Order: sequence, then C-alpha cells, then structure tokens
Amino acid sequence: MKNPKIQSADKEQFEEVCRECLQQTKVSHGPQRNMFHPRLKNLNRVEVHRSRTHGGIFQRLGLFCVELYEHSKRFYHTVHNLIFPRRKKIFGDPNPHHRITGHLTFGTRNEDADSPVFNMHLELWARTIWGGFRKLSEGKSDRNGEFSLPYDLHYVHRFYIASVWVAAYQTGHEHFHRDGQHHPEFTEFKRVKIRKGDLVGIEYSCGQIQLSYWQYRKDTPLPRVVIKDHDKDAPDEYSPGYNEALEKQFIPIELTKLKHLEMIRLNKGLTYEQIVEDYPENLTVCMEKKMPGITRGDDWFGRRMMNGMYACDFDRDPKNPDLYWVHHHWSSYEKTYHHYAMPDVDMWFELKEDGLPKPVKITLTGPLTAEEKDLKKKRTFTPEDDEKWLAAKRICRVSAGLYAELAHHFAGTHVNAEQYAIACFRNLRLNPISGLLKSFLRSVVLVNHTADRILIGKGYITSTCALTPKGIDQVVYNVMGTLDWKGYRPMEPISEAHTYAKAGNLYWDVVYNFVSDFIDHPHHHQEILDHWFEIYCFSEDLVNHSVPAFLCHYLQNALLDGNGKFKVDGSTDWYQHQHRMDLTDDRPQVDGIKRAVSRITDKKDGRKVTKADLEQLKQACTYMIYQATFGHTWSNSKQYDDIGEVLYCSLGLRFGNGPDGVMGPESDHSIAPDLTRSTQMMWWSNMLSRTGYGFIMANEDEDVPPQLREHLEKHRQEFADLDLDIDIIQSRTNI
Amino acid sequence: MRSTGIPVLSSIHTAIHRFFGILSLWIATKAFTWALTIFGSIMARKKMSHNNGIGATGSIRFVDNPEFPLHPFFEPGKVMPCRIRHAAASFMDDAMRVVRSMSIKMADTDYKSPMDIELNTGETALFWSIASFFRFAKYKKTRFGMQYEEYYRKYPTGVEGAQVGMRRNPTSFSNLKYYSQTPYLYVAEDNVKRYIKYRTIPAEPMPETGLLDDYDMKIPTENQRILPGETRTRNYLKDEYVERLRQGSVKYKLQVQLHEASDDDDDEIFNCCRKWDDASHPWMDLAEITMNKPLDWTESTKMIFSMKNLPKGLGTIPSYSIYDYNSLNFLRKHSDLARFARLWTIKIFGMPSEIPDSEVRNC
Repeated sequence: MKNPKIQSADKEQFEEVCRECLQQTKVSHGPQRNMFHPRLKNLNRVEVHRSRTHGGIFQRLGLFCVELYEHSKRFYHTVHNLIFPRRKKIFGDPNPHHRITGHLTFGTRNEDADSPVFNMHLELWARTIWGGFRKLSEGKSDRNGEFSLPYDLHYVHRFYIASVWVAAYQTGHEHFHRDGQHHPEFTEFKRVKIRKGDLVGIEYSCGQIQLSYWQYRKDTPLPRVVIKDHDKDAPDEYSPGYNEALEKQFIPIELTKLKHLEMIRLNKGLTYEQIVEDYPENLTVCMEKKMPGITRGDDWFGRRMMNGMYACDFDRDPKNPDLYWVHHHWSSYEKTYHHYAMPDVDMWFELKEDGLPKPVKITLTGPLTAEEKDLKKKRTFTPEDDEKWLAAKRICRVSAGLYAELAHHFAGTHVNAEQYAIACFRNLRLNPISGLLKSFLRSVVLVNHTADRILIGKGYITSTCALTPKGIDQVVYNVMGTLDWKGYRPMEPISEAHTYAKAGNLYWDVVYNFVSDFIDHPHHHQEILDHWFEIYCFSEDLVNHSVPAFLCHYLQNALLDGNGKFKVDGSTDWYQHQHRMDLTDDRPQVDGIKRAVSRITDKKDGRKVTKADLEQLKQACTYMIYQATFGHTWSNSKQYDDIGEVLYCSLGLRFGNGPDGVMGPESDHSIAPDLTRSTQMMWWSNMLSRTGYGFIMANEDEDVPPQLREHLEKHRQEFADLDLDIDIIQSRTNI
Repeated sequence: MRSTGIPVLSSIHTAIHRFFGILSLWIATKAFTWALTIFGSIMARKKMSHNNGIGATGSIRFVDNPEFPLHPFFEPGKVMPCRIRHAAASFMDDAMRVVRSMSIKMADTDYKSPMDIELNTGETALFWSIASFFRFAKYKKTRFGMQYEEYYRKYPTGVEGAQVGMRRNPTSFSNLKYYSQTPYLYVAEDNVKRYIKYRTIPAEPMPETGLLDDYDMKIPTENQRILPGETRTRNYLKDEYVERLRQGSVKYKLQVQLHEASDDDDDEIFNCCRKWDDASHPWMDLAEITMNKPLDWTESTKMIFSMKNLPKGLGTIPSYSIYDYNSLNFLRKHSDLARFARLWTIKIFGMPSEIPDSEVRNC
C-alpha cells in the first residue's frame, strides 16, 4: 500500500479495474500434478505448521513405491471385479420358509442401542471356492429394524459354496447417468459372517446387529457425528477425484508456506510484503497495484462489507432509521487479552446514490492497548479522524473477517450442514428425498472433523485472535442457536447494489423451483408419501439433537414483549428478519428446552400429510441445499478476495508496541499477526479458496441432479450480472 | 406353444442332487449312530436323552367306530397288551423345566412289538431335520442346569418349540398331552396315501398342568433350573405316577390327525415345527390306553422303542437329504445299534443306578 490518502476514483474506471482484477485473480484449477511435487494423502493430512506431505528424495522414492503398490492394488481390484463380478441376479430359488432374520439398531453396546435402523438395504452373499460371488437374497429392514432374507437352503449347501455373509448397506447419494437414469449408491457398511453349517432351514437369527452408524457425539452439545478414524472408520468418504484435485492445487501453497517458515526459523529477513508477493495475487493486492489506496477507502470498505466475503447483516439503526447498523459483539465470549485486541465493533452506514453503503461512524468498545483494562470503554471514530479512521476500519475488517469465518462460514454452513447431514443419512433411505439431498450433504462431516483439529478448538484461529477455544465454541454454539430452516429466505437486499443478497435470493428461487418440481413430480410424490415415516424420523432427529434456541439479551429486550412474544407494534421494523430465525413462531420443545431447529412434520403416516407439511418439506430441502452450496461457496471462495493480504485484513490484530496500541498505522508491524501466523493465514485463505472440487456445473462425480444444473444454466447471465459465476458454486461443503 | 418334451436335463439335475442328498443322509446317520454307540451307549451306558423315566404296563383298545379310513392294524375293538414309558427329555431332576415324553409299545416286551410310538409334550418340536438336530447337539453346552443357549439365540423356532414343549412341575405325567410332532405315513384300506400325526391326552377331560406361565416365559429358555425354594424331590413325578397306579389305573386316549397327500403339497406339511390346522385336520380318537402296573427302574431302563416297529403302511415318510423334514425319523429309525449297544453294555457292566433323592439338583 503506497498512498494512505484515499483515492476517489472515477466510477467507470473503478468498475473496470474491479472487473479486471476479479478476472485476473479468479482461481484456476489448472495446475497439473508434477511428479516432483510432494504428495498429500487427503485433507486430513494438512497441518497449520507442516502438513504431512512427503518431499525428501528418499521419501519420494518410498512414496513412489507406495503409490505403485496402491495402483497395483487398485488394478488388482479392477481385474478381480472383472473376473468375479457381483451380479444382481439372485442365485437359487429363495424359499420364504427358510430365512435369515435379525434386528438392526443404532449405536454401540451402551448407547442408543434401542433405536431401530429401518429401511436399511441388506444382501445375503456367498462366495464359491474359486472366488465367485453369489447373491442369495436381498431385502430391507422394516420399521422396527427387523429383516428377513429368504434363501435357497439347498443352494447354500452346494459343495462349492465356501462362505456366507449378510451385509448391511448404507444408502448413499444418487448417481446420475448421462441418459438420465439414476440409482442410489449402496456402500457396504457392515458385514456379518454366517457359518454355512448353521444354515439348516426355517429361521436363522443373526440377533441384534448394532451399527455404529452416523452416531451423534456425546462429548459436545453441538450435533456432530462420531468419527473414530478419519481414514478407516468414518461414516463417509471423499471421492477419489477430490483427493487428487486437493493435492495438485494445495501442494504449491504448502511449499510456499514451508519456505516462509524456514526463512523465519533461519531469520532470513522475511517481510510481510514478501509473504504477500509469494502467494498468488488476490483481489485487494491487484486493486492496489492498479489504483493505489483504493482498498483503504470508504467506498471499497462499504462495497466489501455488503458484497464481499463479510456479507454483513445490515439492520437499520433503531435510533436512526436512515442509517444501517452492523454489530459484532465479542465481549460475550471468553477471551485472553495478552496479545490480541478484540473490541466490540459497531459500524454505521448510509446508502449512497449507487446503493452501496458508505461508513459514517465506527464505535469500538473495549481495550485498544495492552495497558487498558476497561472492557466497557467506548470510542467512536468518523471519517474526520484520518489515521484513526483508517485504523478503525482495519479493526472492523478484521472483526468482520473473523465473524464471517466463525459465524457465517463455520457455524452457518459447516456445522449447520452437518446436523442436517447426520439426520439425513441416519433416516432417509427409500424416500426420494434421500436422493435429492445426499449429494449435497456428502463430505461435510469429514471436513468438519479436520477443522476441529486444525482450525477451531486449539487450532489456528485461537492462536491468531483473542478468543480461547472455549470462546470459539461459545460463538459457534450461540450462532447455531439462531439458525432455523423455517421461514428462511436469504437476506433482503437493502438496495439495487446489494448483489450478494440479490444473488442469494435468485439462487434460493432457482433451488426452490427445482425442489418443488422434484417433490411434486408424479414419479416422486407418491413415493415420498409412502415413505413419509423416514421424513418424520429425520425431523425428530434434527430437532432432538439441535442446540437450544438463542437470542441475545439486547434483541430479547428490543424484539420481544414481556411474554416472550415478538412485538408487533412496529417497533421492530428496523430488524432484518427474513434471513433470521422466525421469532413469531413457537419453538419446538425437547425435554423442556426450546430448540433452534423446527420440526418439518409431526405426522408419521404419509396418508395424513397435508399441503402444509409438503410445503415445509420443500422449504427445509431448499434451505439445506442452499446452505450447503451457495451459502458455503460465498463464505468460502471469497476468503481469498478479502483475507488474502495480511496488512489489509487478518483474523486478529495485536495490541502492538506503539502508544496507540491497535489503532496504530499499518506500517506498525507489531499490530498485524506475526510472520508465522501471517503466512499461515495466507496459506489458509488460499487453501480454502483454491482447493475446490465438486462443483454443481462441473459435476465431477455425476451426482448432481441434471434438473438443477439446467435451472442454473438458464439463469447464468442473471447471475453474471450480479458478479456471480455459477461455475464456482460448489455442490457440497467439502473444504 | 408349450413344449411337451421331457425335461431331461432338469431330471438329471434332480437325480444327481437326490443321489448326493441320500448319500449325505446315509453317511450322517451312520456317523451319528456310531458316535452315539461308542460315546453314549458303551462308555456311559446312557441314552442320548430321556434317561430319567418310569414305565408302566397295561393294555390298548382301539375304538369301535373310528371316524377315519382304517388301516388293517387298527382293527376296531382290538385289545393288545401295552407298555408305556414316561420320561424327562433331559436332566435327572423332575422339578426342572424340561420337555416330558410318553413312549408307547403295543406289546408287553422290552423290544419286539408290532408298533411303537414316541411322543413329547408340545405340539411343535425344537428341531426339524437331521441338520438342525446336529446343531442342537453341537450347541448343547450344559452347565449348572442351563443348556442350548447358543442354539436358542440362533434359532427362534427352537425357542418357540421349547416354550410350548417344556413343562414346569406338572402334578402328574397322566394329565399332560403328548404329540408325535413328526408326521408318518398312513396308507389305509382304501389305498389312499395320507400322513398321520399322533397324540395322547388324558381319557377324562382335565386341565394340563405344568404349562409355562408368564413368569416362566420371562426366564431365558436355556435356563432349566429348578425354582428357588423348590421343595419337590428329584423323583417326585415318577413317585407320583407309581402311587397313582397303586391306587387305580391311569387311562389315556390315543388320537390321530390325518392329511391327505397330494402332488402339490408344500414341504411345510412335514415340518414338525408347524402344527396342522385343527379346523381342517381335527383330532380323532384311535384308541384307549389303560395302564395298571408300574415297572421298576430296571424294567423301565431296559425298554427299547424303535421306529422299525411300525406296521406296513404306517412307517416313516421317505427323506432325501439331511435338510429334509422327514430326515429326523430316518435318523431315529436307523439308530437301533446305539439302543442295543446300551443294553449289551448294561448286561455286561450292570444297570446304571437309580436316581437318588439327593440335595444335588439341576443335573
């Protein structure tokens, strides 16, 4: 940044430069895998310091041998499957009087052991002495989790049948073929061997088969799934293409980080400028090169707060309806004040003629130097405050960046999608809604599991801001308490320039129409009603495991009357409620606690389902798909634009050594995160923005419904007019 | 147009399968019989089951006006000498929860007889073929009055059979109902092939005792132990029967159920774990059995009942593999070697001792 004076640029020139920079810094997924690059097994191998890649010559040789072995193994499996195919044909003549029975339940010995797993696909297989597979029977578990698989007693006792087993299959996402045919992917989840000699006719009982199947964790109040081992014992897995794409895009970034860490360790004079220079150029760096000072200006500030990664919630100021107000309340969460400043932030904006917001006032509450102890001290800054105004805006950018990461990104999409994913995979199997949703809810639990270790908790974020691990958990917990599908629509645009909100609403309408068409389609409609019990159980799991509903004290006083009901006297018109929890609705209660997520239905029987239930189902499905795709894409892919330059924005600011503390200039490098955290932050924003796989339009895994892609394609230009390229919208939350 | 050709390949296929089925049936029977002979009869001087019993002697009289087509053997009004033996299927303690049995010999001899019938309490059985019987034997694992735990866990049909068959502390052998469970052949004078099942009930209507109540149903099936605080002795039921016979005769009715064979009969008609519907297969009186005198331990133990002692036309139904429902009777019919070996061993080494009224229970 060369010139602290803000440049008021010609509007057309500015828009032109903006478009150029957006195009120039657009993420390309082109890099080819170089045989000399280190290797990365999967996302779970990344680390904040040094990822578990393999770079040395002997390591690479060893890795080459390992890869050769892995390729040989895959080749062997391919040949094996060719020679010994698993055909769909049922061998023998199954006799209903000779059955294998059992009872599927969730959980392990001590937990959750009575809940039946219904509609689980099961198959009875045998293997011959020469290796061939013979399917003897197939069926599904009933509503009580019980199954009965008839088989041919005499066939199973043929001399060449060597082994017999029952396999329970997880009903996964739908695989769509080019000709429009689609079928669910069945993945073997558990295998129970049966001694051939024990099959003597009439009924053989496998007893109670407990499936540790999408179990809810008991060590956290958040709805999270148990993952015992990310690579070997997880309820989901990344597709092979994902790991390859991750590796080829991630490795160059990792090498850059490693170089910086080495330079820091050897004290080789690494600078912030060099850090930024070494990583791929982002939007703000590009803009600064073309129009120095532009990104520190008020116009840019307002534009990014509205339409950038921050995508702030613009409420009207209750005291002054002409102004818009954004508030970040950090003082409710546990923090340490040793190094990092984290004041509460209030920003006020007015709308310009072009509809973009312009900041008019910023209030910071809390210590701004290491010596200050008063947590309630307020200081207000306006554009007349020059340098202080610049510093205040910087603090606001950092606060908004952190809020976007924790509230919008991690809680609002990742953890939010996970609660729907768990309930979906636990309960939806035969219902066509299973095929509708699972493609979009895949992989999120795996990436969240990795994020637990390296990002939140004792991961990166707590090392780069004042929040403690407990504080981060509190943020996520409270945000989750505000998220509900019922009554949700994306944020209402506050002006014609609010492209983020307009794009969100357009996308919502596209997805809603797609979901409606799907549910109302004659092929699906009756089947949805026939298997409505799955929807009921899905809804119950969702509500029973959701966090308590949360509304902060300020909003409780401002929005609710003495009886806890939403005020309807007009005094709440300042509050943007379209994209927030519907406070007029009664919260469902579980064990006396009001829960955040609403029930989709209270009917177990599809014959009693009403139009209102179906409408709620459409709403809920649209919400899930929206959050997992657009919601995540926006907060994830824009990270690179808005936190891809250390001095411009980071996730935390230190008090610094100067007399003004965190209010010092950007040139005071004791305020920005230290060099290590800075390069790590650049690594994060690049990794999360660049290592993409699984886009709706690219449809790499052929699991995106073609109708959705058609709907989106029809609106491609409309989205482009709102600066959104539909090719970057991911089909699931997997990074 | 439907083909009128003979399905040669299909017939050859069936013939091959049948051949190997019969071969396995023969091998399994022989192997089992020899194993039982050596380890049961010779080494232990015991039967495989039903060692704890009491015999009696009396007569059998066939009814005058039977309601069904007669076999020449069942001559109306015919009276024959008769022996019966009541026993517990397992364990040597009458107060344990076990299946009870009644074996009928239509002669006053230890072995030779024109007709023997073996019956147990419960209309359905615990196993249904040689294969399932072998599993039953394999998973026995008796310990402290508990057995077949793994068998019951794997085979719910066995549990059902045990629950209908076991009796807890009946007041007398004489008021129980006993069933053949497996069907036999029945070719009457009209030469129509039928299948027959037998049962005995008390001659006078009276409630059956010892049926498992709600409390007993909650006890795991494998637990056959006596109830806490049990005061009945190990031989109480045998003693009661002896005393009953001293005071007067004990009468039973022998009844039959018939099923007319047809080409499209489901194999399930031979399944001894499924009862025939009473409405379409009513029970009809065949004979009245009158017992007058008890037999002592020696006489009771020496008796052999055999499925070879069946008149022509009343024999066992052919079976074609160890999974066949009729294979059980095949096994019973061809294991006389073990029975005779036990007798010879008893002659050489002496009679096994009577069951004492000791405090050692649950065995």
